[in-house]
Amino acid sequence: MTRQEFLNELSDIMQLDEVLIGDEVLEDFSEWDSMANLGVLSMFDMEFSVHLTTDDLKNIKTVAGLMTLAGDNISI
Amino acid sequence: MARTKFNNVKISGLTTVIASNCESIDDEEELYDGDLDKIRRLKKTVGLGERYVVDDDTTSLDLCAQALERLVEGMDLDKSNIDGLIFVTQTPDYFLPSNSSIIHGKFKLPKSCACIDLNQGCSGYVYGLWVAHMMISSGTCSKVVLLAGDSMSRTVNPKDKASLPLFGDSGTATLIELSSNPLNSYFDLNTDGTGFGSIIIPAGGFRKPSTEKTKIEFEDGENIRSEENLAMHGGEVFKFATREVPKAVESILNYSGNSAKDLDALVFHQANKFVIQNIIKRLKNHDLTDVLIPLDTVSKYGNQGPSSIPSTISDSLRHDVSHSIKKMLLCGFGVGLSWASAVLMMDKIFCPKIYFYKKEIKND
Repeated sequence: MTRQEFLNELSDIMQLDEVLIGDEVLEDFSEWDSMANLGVLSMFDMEFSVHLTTDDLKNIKTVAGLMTLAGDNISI
Repeated sequence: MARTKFNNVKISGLTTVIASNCESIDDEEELYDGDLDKIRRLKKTVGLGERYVVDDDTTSLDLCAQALERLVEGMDLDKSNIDGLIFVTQTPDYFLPSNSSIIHGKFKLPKSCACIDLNQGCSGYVYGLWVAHMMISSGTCSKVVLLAGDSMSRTVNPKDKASLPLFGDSGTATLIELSSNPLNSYFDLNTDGTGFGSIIIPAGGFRKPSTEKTKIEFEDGENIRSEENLAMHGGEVFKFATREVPKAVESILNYSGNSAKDLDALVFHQANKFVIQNIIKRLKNHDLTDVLIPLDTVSKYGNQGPSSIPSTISDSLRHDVSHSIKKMLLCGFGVGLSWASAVLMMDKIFCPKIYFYKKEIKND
């Protein structure tokens, strides 16, 4: 998955109208709620076979931070 | 492996009766402390909206009885030919006797009629169809009525933000009978009982009988309920559904020798839009472009448990199934945890529009 694909997917999960760039702070979005958390866990599970928990997400501050959890699965 | 195939059984009619009281999340600002943005997101992401619920003295038996009346009238059914009756519910009128026995008496069905209740929820319609197919293909019965319905709204605490706006009540009646033409139908049934606590009413049964203590309300995260209310652990149910349901769809497609594009419609239990969309995402390697996949039943009527699949057919697909032959994949999943899928044909079945429940005036 490319970086842009990840950003589009995240925007879709959070049902945002705007385009994400990566430096956004997750807590600034009211859309970053328990449903979005589930959607992200599901995406990591499905796309990267990375099995995260909601606790893993609690330590993440930004959209870019989320991408680091995917490691080498996201290309430039 | 619990899977099987039938070739001499058909579904010939289906009716749905929705509870009559409309509730809307738009009127429930207080429940969310006036957080309109939260309500907006629940509508957009989860697909919550309106739902129809029963009043305090209406049960799923009443809803299903009216659905059966509509089926009998609409198909001009001779009741003396009904020799099997299945009632799928988790909100029965009594611990005993069974709802199917009560319906049997109410409709004056013949004594030579087998009656059973199935204690299943969201997977229950497909489980019920499977039992009906077995009753017929074994030679036991020739016309089986399957009633499926719950009144979950009566089990939910009014202060439970997660469950209150989700559940709607309805009852459905389906006629399954011997087919003179060969007609293939395939079933695959599954269970994971280790997840029994994910959707549960903890008290009020024999394990934990109702007491003053079980009626005490307590806080569970953002929600308030008692042990006698429905408790649904949404995150666990979501993980279960997105893990098992896509595999179940692939499994029944393989077993029935179909690919996704052979289907006319794919009807999931209408848990909510968010769950169904995430299941569909995981089926991205299948060509679903021309397959009808209803998503919006929850926003119109709520999550209707065992009647969500038939009520979605009545609401969104009735023109398709009443005028031509359609290949359908049905997949129910939920409480148990259990899940069940079927691939079957619906060939010009009797499928009128959804009816709303009309309360009978009782003089007692």
